[in-house]
Amino acid sequence: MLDASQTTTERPAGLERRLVFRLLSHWRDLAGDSGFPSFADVDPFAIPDIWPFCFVLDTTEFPDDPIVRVAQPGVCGDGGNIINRHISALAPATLINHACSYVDEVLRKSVPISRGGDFIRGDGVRILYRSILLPMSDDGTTICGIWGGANCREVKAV
Amino acid sequence: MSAASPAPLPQRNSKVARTYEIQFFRDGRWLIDSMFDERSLALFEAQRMAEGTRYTCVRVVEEVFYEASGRLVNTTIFRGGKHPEEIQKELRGAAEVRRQVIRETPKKQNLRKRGKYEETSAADEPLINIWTMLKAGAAVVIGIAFLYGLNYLQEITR
Repeated sequence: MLDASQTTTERPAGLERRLVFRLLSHWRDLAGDSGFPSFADVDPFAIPDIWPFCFVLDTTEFPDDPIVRVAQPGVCGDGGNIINRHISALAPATLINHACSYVDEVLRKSVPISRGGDFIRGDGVRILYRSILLPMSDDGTTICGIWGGANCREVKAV
Repeated sequence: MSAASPAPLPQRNSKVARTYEIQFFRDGRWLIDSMFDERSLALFEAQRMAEGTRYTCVRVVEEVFYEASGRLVNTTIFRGGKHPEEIQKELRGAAEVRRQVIRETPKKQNLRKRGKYEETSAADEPLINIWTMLKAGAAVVIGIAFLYGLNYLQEITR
């Protein structure tokens, strides 16, 4: 699993360090005054330090159980191939599963929501994580997917 | 710009669920920008938004849901940005409501609960006094007329 410090791109001094705030700021920039940005506006090359921790959920066909369309190594880790899987099929003790756990609330409220917490990974290591889910729309009003971001760190047992 | 009581509150209480809504003021109403599960993150982001130029006014509303009673309590814990006239009016209104609640005696509260109490302003009081006196005078006149009527009936029937 990638750590923020492993990304090579330098950020200008004074920029917010935390992933969820950077992603939220970028989402706001893309959205402007139109409500929601479109996936067509997202350029991974414009956010090289954030993109490795991003994932995309498709909510058009199955809003109750969205499908993972994009999952970068920073969020899926060694969870295997999860592309085109429903979120209900994700392994329970994984970062992406926890990061997707409140997608229904984001769809209901149509606003970005950030949650954090902890869980015990399959190897028994406690993981602290922080995630954010951002509603996306192609027409500016109807939500067609969710852009997510999450990162985590291991908590060493004392 | 002010952040009230920065002391962190307990986050993981199974009986109490807390969420923090960042709201911004646009077109005469408050809209939700984003939601966080941590007070410090919401305050940090709201402060950042308030210092920027995109938002006129930003606030953070803490929503506390008490599972046992099903009660939901909303409290504004932060206000920032420029305060246009509309918001100042709203703040003055809220302050007036607070003053009224503080002024309210238990007797008034009981009457209000039973729907028998109507708030009057100081400017209305002379009118109310005149109206009360007129009503009292009318009652006296009707009483005297009734007595005369009775007397008259007795004389007729004799």
